[in-house]
Amino acid sequence: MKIHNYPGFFIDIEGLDGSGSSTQVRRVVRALAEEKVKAYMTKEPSKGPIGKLTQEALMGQFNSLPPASIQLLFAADRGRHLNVEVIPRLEKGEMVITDRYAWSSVAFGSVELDREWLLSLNKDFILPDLTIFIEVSPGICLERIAKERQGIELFEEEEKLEQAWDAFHSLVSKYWWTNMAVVDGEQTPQEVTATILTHIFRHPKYKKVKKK
Amino acid sequence: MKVHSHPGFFIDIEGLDGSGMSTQVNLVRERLLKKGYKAYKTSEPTDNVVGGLIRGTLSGVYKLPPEALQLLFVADRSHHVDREIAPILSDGNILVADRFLWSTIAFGSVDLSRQWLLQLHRYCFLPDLSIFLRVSPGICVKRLKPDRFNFELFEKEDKLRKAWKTYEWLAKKFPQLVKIVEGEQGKEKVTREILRQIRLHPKFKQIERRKK
Repeated sequence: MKIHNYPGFFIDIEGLDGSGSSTQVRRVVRALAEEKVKAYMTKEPSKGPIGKLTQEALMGQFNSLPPASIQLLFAADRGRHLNVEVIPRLEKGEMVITDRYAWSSVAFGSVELDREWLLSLNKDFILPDLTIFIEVSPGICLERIAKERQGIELFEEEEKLEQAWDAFHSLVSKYWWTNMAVVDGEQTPQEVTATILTHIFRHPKYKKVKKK
Repeated sequence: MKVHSHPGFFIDIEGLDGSGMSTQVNLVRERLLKKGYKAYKTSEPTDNVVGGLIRGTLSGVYKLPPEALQLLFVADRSHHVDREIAPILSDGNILVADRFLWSTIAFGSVDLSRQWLLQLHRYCFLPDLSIFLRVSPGICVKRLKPDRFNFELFEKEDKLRKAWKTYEWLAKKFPQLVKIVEGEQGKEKVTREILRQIRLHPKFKQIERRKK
């Protein structure tokens, strides 16, 4: 991935399924709104046909779509997501917060496929200015998922979660220089939001978007 | 990325639109059938879920940036191999494809890096024999105009020129796998030349033995 030159501030919130990443994106956007800072909330897989197809594939709806196919779809969706939703806003100097991005597909995909290959799919996509990895142990993730949701996605078995956990950690240690922050997700939701906001406020790009 | 390891013989016929490729796939397959071989044909995009998205994009109904479209092609290909191609080849049949991975590299290279496009195919296997039909882009465009209503995205002459340059690059890079056949001769001559290349291929003898 490459560093972007747009005036906007691109934040990626990551974590295993059940880590609370979706909840935190909503809480963070709301907290920023209270500071009169507008942030555009988005997610991956994105809305639109490719995103829908990718989501269904991840939920095991297609009995013959091989893992490489799913990852290629994920990347295709990302290409469109960036083109249609993210970059136009970054060009205008806005803040964009995404619930999952390339790091997710690389971490989850590397359970079965080569990590370097997965990274190469994303070679021409932009790096987030800030990536927040919400760290919650796989065991707790599984409990939360069982409590809250119907329709288990493929990655929600504990062993796969463990492998994805290792993959995320490996990415964080290798790519720390791309501005990755690990946040303890086992605190209360309020504490997690507060920690994330600290990282956001500290980032040089925050002053620039705040002016708007 | 390597040649498949199934008993079947996988032949891929490639070229620019208007080079007579689809015609040749049919003629070649018919000849093989007449001679008692179990010969199948196939093409891409498939009629399956990802194929539909590709067709929508090619006809201009849906908009995608170039890398997203090429990622879809490879996702469809991976699905195609799993569902249709590998089973046919594992039964020891002959399969003639009307385009395969070389098309993505050639046409994708109009906008994107050849190396990147090749890298996408890490989990895709290669055909035993690939025939590139050489027809000048000028002639291709002339052949296309009277017959076809829908001008699909790739049918402009300068794009065809770029794509052909990549085909030549691929032929030099994979000399054991690729044969260039003159497509500007009469139909009959082209078919005979393709069949000659097929007969010369070591895989053909293996298929022949099974026929007895």
